[in-house]
Amino acid sequence: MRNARSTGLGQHGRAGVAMLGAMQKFASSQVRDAARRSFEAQPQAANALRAPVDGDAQAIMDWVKQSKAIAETLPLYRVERFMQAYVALAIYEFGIPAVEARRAQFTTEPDAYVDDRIDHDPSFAAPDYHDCDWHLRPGGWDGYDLYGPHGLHVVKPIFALGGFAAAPVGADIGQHRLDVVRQLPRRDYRRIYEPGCGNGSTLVAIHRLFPEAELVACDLSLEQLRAARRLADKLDLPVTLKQRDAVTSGEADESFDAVVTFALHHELPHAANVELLGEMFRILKPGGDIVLSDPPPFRAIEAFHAVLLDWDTDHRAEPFFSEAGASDWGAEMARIGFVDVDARPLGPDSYPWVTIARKPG
Amino acid sequence: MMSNTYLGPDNVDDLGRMVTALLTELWITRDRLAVVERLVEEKGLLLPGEVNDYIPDAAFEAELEKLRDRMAGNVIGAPLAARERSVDQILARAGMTRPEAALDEKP
Repeated sequence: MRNARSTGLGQHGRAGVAMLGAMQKFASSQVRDAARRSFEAQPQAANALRAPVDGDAQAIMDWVKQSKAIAETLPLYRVERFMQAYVALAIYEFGIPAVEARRAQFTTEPDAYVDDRIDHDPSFAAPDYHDCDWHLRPGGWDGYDLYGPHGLHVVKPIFALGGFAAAPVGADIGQHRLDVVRQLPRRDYRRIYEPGCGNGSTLVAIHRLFPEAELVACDLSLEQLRAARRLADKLDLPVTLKQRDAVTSGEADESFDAVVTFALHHELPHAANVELLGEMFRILKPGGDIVLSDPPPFRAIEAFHAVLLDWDTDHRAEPFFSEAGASDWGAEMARIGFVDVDARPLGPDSYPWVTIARKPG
Repeated sequence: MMSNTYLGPDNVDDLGRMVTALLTELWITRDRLAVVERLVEEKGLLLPGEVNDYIPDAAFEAELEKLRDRMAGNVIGAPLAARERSVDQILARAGMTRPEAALDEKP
């Protein structure tokens, strides 16, 4: 990440990014609604609009697969997915040259300036699953030194309109973060932990609702941590940032009052998620609370919606999206020892979906 | 893995409709440019035919060529975008490279 004290992109970049957002918005609302109506009018789909009751992960994925086979016969579904795929690729195909054209303004502050204030180790080895062009991002999270400004000036204006992955058109991602953090039942937490903090956007929401709390956050990506460090400095957030694999966080036993996750779990293999939840249980104090958020589980949504989410696994470089969709994090948390587990949707299209629980104490 | 194939034979008409809609949008922009030219002429900032007869000097021609190549690359290169996706391939299609120092930062 580089700093972004600028007016952003040039006219070419700005106008192109705006049009990509408009394409996605229209395709994800008008075209998608028409595709959904076409899907639901198919007799074989109408008989299985909901997931099999009490179905296990395999039964749920079989249902998604059958629904997908029906959807793929529909021209409007294919046009809608074509547009999704086009925009998802163009975010990088168009967006990388747009930020490269402004390299000088994005590189006035050396990375060394923020690296000193990130707890990181040059020999840090990320887990193998991290080696992926996440979300079609060439080279992955750390594959380009300008992915910080790219996130701010290309991804953010497009995503701000909603209509991608689990977020419906009109979804306000900033508000989602506040809504998720607000689910924490107490207001007196002293230390709050966020695994997988990315560029720090959720830390802003946590600080806004818990201004007195000390924040500690980790991520695998140094570029994302640089973006988070710059954001935290700009807003004066009391946060310690660490490059860590959250499943082995290195934090002390029973050292946090609360844990928040946002849109993290679908980025991890199932086994790593279970390990992560166990690790969060370990570092929480007795009586500590956890709220995790992610796209909704397939069992809680209709067939067409599940087909759209499942699509990301193969088409938006989200290798664990479907695996997460077929999982039940609440059940896993109960097995680990969490109590008062509650899972529910917060917004339209069941997004974000939150699971809240407490460590006994 | 990603197939890069989304549309089927029965989407050809859909593509035709989208291209036709693009013709309308292109004309709206062309029409607006003509109106702007006329207004600028009427206000005496341009002579009639001045835009049409304009001959770029070498520096401006080079600038136009760069813009033209970029536009051609964006359109003709669209199929490549789904197939050749490293940061440097993307930049090369836009006629750009990143500095050596930025390359060194890659993990």
